[in-house]
Amino acid sequence: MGFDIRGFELEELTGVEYRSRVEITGRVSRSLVEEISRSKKEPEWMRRLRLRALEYFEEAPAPQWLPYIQRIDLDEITTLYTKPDVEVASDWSDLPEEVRRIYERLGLPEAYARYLAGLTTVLDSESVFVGVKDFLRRLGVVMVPMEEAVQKYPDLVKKYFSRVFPYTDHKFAALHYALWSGGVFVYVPRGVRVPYPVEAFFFLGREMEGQFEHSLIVADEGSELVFIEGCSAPRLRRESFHDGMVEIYAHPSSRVSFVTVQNWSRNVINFNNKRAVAEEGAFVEWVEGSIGSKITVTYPSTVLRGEGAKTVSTLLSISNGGYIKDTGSKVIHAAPRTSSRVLSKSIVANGGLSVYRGLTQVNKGAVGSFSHVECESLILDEKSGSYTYPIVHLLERDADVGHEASTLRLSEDQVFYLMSRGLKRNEVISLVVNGFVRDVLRKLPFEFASMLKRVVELEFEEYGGVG
Amino acid sequence: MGLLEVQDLTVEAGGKVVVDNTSLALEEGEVLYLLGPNGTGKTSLIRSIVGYPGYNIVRGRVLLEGEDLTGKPMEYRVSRGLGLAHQLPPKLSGLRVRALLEAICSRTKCSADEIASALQIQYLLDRDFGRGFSGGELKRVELATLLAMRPKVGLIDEPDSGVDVDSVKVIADGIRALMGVSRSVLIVTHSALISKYIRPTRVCLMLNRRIQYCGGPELVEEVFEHGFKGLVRGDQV
Repeated sequence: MGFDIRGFELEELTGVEYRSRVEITGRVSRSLVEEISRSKKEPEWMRRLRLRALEYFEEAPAPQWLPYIQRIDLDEITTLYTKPDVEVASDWSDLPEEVRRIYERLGLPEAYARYLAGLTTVLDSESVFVGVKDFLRRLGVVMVPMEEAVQKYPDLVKKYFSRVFPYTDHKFAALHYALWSGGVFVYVPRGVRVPYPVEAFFFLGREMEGQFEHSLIVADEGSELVFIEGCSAPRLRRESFHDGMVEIYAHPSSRVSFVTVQNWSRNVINFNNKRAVAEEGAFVEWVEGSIGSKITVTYPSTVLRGEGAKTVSTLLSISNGGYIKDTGSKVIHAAPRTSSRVLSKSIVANGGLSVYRGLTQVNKGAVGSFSHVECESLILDEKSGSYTYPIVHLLERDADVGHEASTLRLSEDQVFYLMSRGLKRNEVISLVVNGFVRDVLRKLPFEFASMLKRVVELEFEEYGGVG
Repeated sequence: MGLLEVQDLTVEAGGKVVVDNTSLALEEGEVLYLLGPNGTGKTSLIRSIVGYPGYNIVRGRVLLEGEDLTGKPMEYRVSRGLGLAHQLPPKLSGLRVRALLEAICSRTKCSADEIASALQIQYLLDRDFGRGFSGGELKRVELATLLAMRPKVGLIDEPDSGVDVDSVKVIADGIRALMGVSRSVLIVTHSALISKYIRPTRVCLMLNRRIQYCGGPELVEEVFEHGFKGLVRGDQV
């Protein structure tokens, strides 16, 4: 499977200080990277970018901030992810049971048909269907698979690709750039407001496609876009390691909302690099519902680079069972009068662990900036844990920075009380959970809210069978 | 046969006997007052009737419409029609009153708004359950949840303690509404304030973990006159 998970006690894993490095065995060969580039018929600049990233990957120290993973075996990962796979799911029934059930009950296909402007469905490594409704095309909006964008829009891609999240940021960013494959490129021209959300729905992809996908969104001046990263790929029966990336470039006065409802099957290590740059007066919104996966490590980040730029992050994470969510939003205020708001809600149950690791940095000169971070956790039983580590780097005095954190722990008394009202234990949990996530859902557009609500309900439907 | 029958019930909670070999029958259409001083086992008795966790029936039986519920979990008993209004429900942060009423109503086909209006708690519907409520508000909301359950037998634990006079009137209206949907109501009280508004059909006295004596509605006045002890001493069975 390519990695070993560290056996752990909740207490050992948490804390601001990281205590362990990931052990990386095996290697990614130069010839593999060359082969990927050749098979995609990439221009020279992309091939070189991959190779430089690979070199950087080899030199960079192993990260200490993946405390849950003991060992990653590159040989296994590259073998598994680049060779045609006999286990590739090509049919609905090949999906893991829990994923299939959820998708069927969500009725997702109808949702897409009803309110989405564009839909990208990644079917396998070679055949990729992109459906962009006619009017989107008339508006001049580009929405194509990343590989196609490299071929068709080389100047545009070259201008932005790896500029928001450079491979030098960390070892796994470098690995990502060496191996990236799949993903979506979206360009919204100046002044164009896309009236409906567009969605990339990575569906039943070959492993390589899903594991290192790279999405790049460029919103030109004054444009608007809502992008849904659709239920991030139901996955395969086998365990896998995911190291995807999203880059968003929001030009002056543009607005970009990036919505993720992540519900990977429970054998995936989901490690996702998400970052946006917001120029003057631009607005970037991250919405992240983290439901699935075995371990998720993701910190949607925004660099507020232009004066008056704003960002809002709304995070909802659920760790139901022995799963880990290590999430948080990071914001760099790098210009005057920038503003950020983060609302993070996490629910832990049945031995789940949730860690909030956020960062608010206000650079010197970012006068009059505002930041507010609010973290709430709901702990449904004694076996589960939730921890909050907000980090604030305040380099400018003239800034208004606030943080609030609260924890709700559902007691047996409260459960019994509600059961005395004729509710079953799972209905009690569902009621409490719904109450807890209500203010997150209220902030979302109706379609996402109802989708997320149903995902959450399904998650706790079978909670605690015994009364 | 009574609607609800408690036969020779002995209950333990926290390792202690809290109800000691007591019997009680509730007939169709009754409004029974269970009176007694604090700590005498009234709450324990009605909680063990509904099967509340932590109350362990060591002897005796609880029957509803002739069905033996003694070994059954609370969930089942509630589904059969036993309902309890707690003396002090817990606070539930993040859970709105409306959400809870609607969850209950989805089963019993009631309307959260109608229930709220019966107990004059419309203004509390969108607030967190119990958070920042006054004593009277808490009782009214709690009674509203019981009303929403539409129990066959409603067991109400001290609806009138720690409540201002105006609230008692509203609570009495709520109990009347409950009498309209339930076949029988049992009210636990030690102050009997509520009796000014709701006339019992029968009154039972509980003392020393046991129901000692039952009589007609006039017993309420006697209790007020003589106190529990004076009354029970003469009539002890």
